[in-house]
Amino acid sequence: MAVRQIQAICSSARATWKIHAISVAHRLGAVPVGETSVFIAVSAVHHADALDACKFMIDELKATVPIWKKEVYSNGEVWKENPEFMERRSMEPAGKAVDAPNVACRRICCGAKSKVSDESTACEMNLE
Amino acid sequence: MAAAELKTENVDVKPVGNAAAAASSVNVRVLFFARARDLTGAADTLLEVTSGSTAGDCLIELIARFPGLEEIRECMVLALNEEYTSNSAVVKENDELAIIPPISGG
Repeated sequence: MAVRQIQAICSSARATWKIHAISVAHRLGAVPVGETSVFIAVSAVHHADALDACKFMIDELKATVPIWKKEVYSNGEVWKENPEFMERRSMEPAGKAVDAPNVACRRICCGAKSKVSDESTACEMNLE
Repeated sequence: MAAAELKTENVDVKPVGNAAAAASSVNVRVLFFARARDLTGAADTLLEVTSGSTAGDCLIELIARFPGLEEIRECMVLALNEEYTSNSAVVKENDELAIIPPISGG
């Protein structure tokens, strides 16, 4: 589904901007701290189109592509949650996920369930 | 549900009871991701629900079976056959329902 969603984002970008080529890559599995998780490249005749499309794509990816990141610390682990996803959910019409109209999704859902107490310890990320 | 058979001569009668039973439930494959997988202890499961059930109905059934899912109920979204869906979408035989906790790609 992640690949499908990324393809849909590429199609949206093409529908909005005049762009030539697009390349998207996302790491899976263990990713050490400091290494790149995602790569998006866009080429176009006009640089504004390339840059705007690129920004759109990373924003959409963070809001909609079903990929998860778990940060692993020496004293625990936590599933990250993208603010872009939480904001998009709160903007969705009722019935998209939860039908209750006044549900205010908490800023952190699963993230608060970690065992981490000291965030300064070294960590690696597990992407799935 | 017992099949009802009419024993009459010269009448072609279908076993209506059996046909109704076969169509009254649908099998749905459910996928759990990230925190949902932690909470259920499973990557996937099979759900049998009555015909005409919605994704929301499936979720209710899943939370009854895996009460731990209540933790992410407010923040999860659902996908049916790899497309995001609403609670009111009707599930069909062999559909694939994904439980999607808050995502963190990029």
